Formats: sequence, structure tokens, C-alpha cells
Amino acid sequence: MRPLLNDFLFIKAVLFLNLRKQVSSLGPFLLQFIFVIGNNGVLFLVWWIFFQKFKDIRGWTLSDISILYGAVTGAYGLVIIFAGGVFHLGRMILEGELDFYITQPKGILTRALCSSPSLSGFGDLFASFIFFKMSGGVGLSHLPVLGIALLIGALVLLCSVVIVQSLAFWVRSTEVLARQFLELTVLFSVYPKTLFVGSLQILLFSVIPSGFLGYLPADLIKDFSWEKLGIGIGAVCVYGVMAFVVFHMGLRKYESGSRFGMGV
Amino acid sequence: MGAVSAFKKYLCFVEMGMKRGFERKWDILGRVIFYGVILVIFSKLWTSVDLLAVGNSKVHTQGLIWYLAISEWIVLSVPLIYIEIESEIRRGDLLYFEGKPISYPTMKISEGIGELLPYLGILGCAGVIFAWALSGSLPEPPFNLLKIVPIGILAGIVSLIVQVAIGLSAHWIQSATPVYWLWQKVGYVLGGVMLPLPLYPDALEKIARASPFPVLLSGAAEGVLYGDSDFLINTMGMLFFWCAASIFLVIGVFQKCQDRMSRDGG
Repeated sequence: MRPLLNDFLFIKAVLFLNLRKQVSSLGPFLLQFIFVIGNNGVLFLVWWIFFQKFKDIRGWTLSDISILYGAVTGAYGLVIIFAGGVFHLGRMILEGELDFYITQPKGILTRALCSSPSLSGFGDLFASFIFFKMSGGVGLSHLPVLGIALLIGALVLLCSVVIVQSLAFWVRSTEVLARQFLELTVLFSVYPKTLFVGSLQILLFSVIPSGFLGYLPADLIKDFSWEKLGIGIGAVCVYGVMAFVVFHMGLRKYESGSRFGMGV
Repeated sequence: MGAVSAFKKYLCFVEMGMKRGFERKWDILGRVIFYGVILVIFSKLWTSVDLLAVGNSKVHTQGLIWYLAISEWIVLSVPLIYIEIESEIRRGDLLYFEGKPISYPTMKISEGIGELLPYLGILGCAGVIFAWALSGSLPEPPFNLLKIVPIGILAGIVSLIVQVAIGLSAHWIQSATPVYWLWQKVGYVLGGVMLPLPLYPDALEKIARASPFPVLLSGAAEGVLYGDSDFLINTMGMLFFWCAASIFLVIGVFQKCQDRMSRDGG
């Protein structure tokens, strides 16, 4: 228990330091915050326009889409804030940037993930709560479920991106693959799940984890059940173990970049 | 003579950009997959809603699939040149171009055009295959598909010019990415990329029509969807107008950048 607490305190300190570094230039931070909210809002506007013409999409209304958007943007925001380094992991591996973390006593993966948090994630989180509020179906009583649902989505997204980015240990460049993977995962997760049936739905709950990023968390918020929660926790465990194993298998093949540098 | 040599000079950058575009096989493949997925999702979406509610006989599932295929073809073909401009500004590299006998914005636009052309070609072929397979037919009249080629090229060039202005904004706000996101997302909505503008509420459609986005992103698609015979001339005319406006924008922004560089350095 003690090492876990130590790790937690360490992560907190690193994140706090990195975030403080970014807040030091308040202007760009505020601008990013506003642009991220605008960015999310504009996409949602398309759905609003859509539902002005059409009543529903196989039973899905604007309120359902609103909850789905809230779940996805919230989870994405959490990943960016707490583990923003995951989006640069492939580059770190390729350019030998892991050298810096290998020599330190804390976990290499943990340190790499915490290395570049982005404050724009707060914009996503804020937008997420606006979406939940707009749905009309989420109140204060949902707060605990909301937290759990967002955490499930964020952890599954984080672990799946770690897996894809870790392929850089074997393949020369994973930049495009990782970007496309993220885009596809987010893209599928913001459309009603009723559009996808059969093998496509299986794909969305496995190779492309859009189901665990959007559909399951949204279902949990709308209609909580212990069974769904169990599935969510199970998914986090499976993706988590896979991410850990793939990263550490790859680490054995890692070649030093002989880099000199400083960082927090 | 001066104009010819300048043209040849920038043509070299177009060639370089084209080579770079063809080298990015994985990026192209990724875009083709993304393009296919978008079309599959929307074909499912359009078959799931009651299109009779729209009250327009020309708005049908097949037409809407072709509409999206054409608008997304333009959106996905444009290379993201603002990223390179942004990082060059951050590194202070822009200062080095000041002493060279080339115009930095024109060089970037030329390189971008070179990258744009292979993307337009490959994604265009993929789009026709996807849309034909998903809709089961060609648009009426099929000849309209050829008319969208010059529109796609010019719309791509205008988008590149605007991206240069966005990239240069990094001079003031460090990261141009949020500005690009906003441009892109506002473009999605006001450009009618996913939904044709006639499906919008009246007020929003009027706002959209006053912006450059419909002509840039969905002018060609609307022409094909509604089988309009004059859309080529009308859309090209509007595109030339916005092209001139965006050139003036870049000249203005770059002038401000140069003033700032000569005052504060790179």
C-alpha cells in the first residue's frame, strides 16, 4: 500500500509542476481553454441541426447524444490532463527520450505518461459538464456514477493508446497509425451505437475501443447497473494488463538514444 | 522574364511537395481508411432516418452519400501545412528565410499544392469507389463528377492559403492549433460538410452562405446532389473571389510578422 501511495504522491507532484509551468503563460492557456470548448460545441451544433429535422436515430435523441458527447469529451480531457505524455510515447521511444526516465527510481511508463500534461484538457472537462447539463437527464445525484464512467472511458482510452504507441518499439514510425487509431476511436464513439450491429459492434468493443470510451460510460450514466459497471471495470483490467505487458515487452528491445537533457 | 523565373522557382517547390506527398504512403492509407469509415457511418445514419421528413425529393440516401463523399474528399485532401509553419516560427527559422530570394508564404503554398495534388487524386478515386459501392449508383448526371475536379483543386488551394495565415498566427499565440481547430470545426458546420445547407434552419443557412465555407467545402457536393448544371461556373467564380481575399489576408499577416521580427527578432 505504501509504494502505491508514494507513487500517487509522486505523480501528483510531477503533474502539479508541469501544469504550473503551463499556467505561467496565462494568455495562451485561456485561449486554448476557450478554443477547446468552442471546438466541442461546434461539433455538437451539427447534431442539434440534425435533430431539428429528424426526430430520432433508431431511438436515440439529442439528449442521448449529449450524454455520449459528455462521456467522450470528459474521458478524453482526463487523459490529456493526467497522462498527456501518452500521445508522444511513440516519439519518445523512437528518439530515445526514455533514457531520462530509465535512470529514475519511479516507473518508466508512469513517468513518461505524466511528462506532458495539457491544460487544454480542462476545456474538454468543462465542455463535458456542459453537455451533461444540456442533456437534461443528468443531475447532482449522478455525480458519483459520472466520475466512475468518465474514469472507465479515460483508462480504456489511455491503455489502448499506450498499446498502439508502444508498437514504436518494433515498427519504425507509429505516428500516423497512432493518430488514425485515436481519430477512429473518437469518431465511432460519438455516433449512436444503434447504427452499428453485428461484427462492427464487436470491433467497437475490442480492437477499436469506442464502446468503452463512449457507449458503456453513457449507458452507465443513463441507466446504472452493477453488471455494466462490472463490464467496465473488467475492460479496464484487460486493456490495462495488455498495455503493461506490451510496453514492458517492448522496453526489452529499447535502444538508448544517448540523450542528454533536463526535464520534470 | 522575372515572372517566368519566379514561376519556375516556385514550381520546384510544387514538385518537392508532390514527391513528399507520394512518399507519405501510410498517411494516405490512413486517410483512405478514415474516409471509408466516415462514409460507412453516414450511409448507416441516412438509412436510419426518415428522409421524407425533409420534404425535398432530391434529398435521398444515394444523393446524400455522394454529397458527403465529395465534401469529405476536399476536407481530407488538404495537407496540414500550418503545423510546419508553426514549428518553424517556434524555432525562429522564419528569420533565416528573410535573406533568401523567395517569399516564405508563397514557398509554403507551393509546397502545399504539391502535396495536395496526389492526395486529391488518390482520395478522389477511393471516394468514387466507396460512394458507388455504398449508394449502389452514380450521381445524376454522372458527368457532373468531372466538373468537381477543378473546384476541388481551387478549394484546396484556398484552404492552404488560409492555413498559412493560421500558421503565422503562432507568432502571437505560440500554438496555432486551437485557431486551426476553430477554423476546421466552424467549417464543418457552416460549410455543410455533413449535412446539406438546405437542411439547416433558415437563419443559420443565411449565416453560412455569407461565409466562405459553403463554397470551399460543399459547393461541388451541392452541385452534384441537386444536379445543377451551372454550379461549376458559379462555384469557381466564388472560389476566385475567396482566393483573392485569402491572399490579401496572408499578405497582411505576414507583413505584421516581418514588422515584429525586425523589432523583436525571430
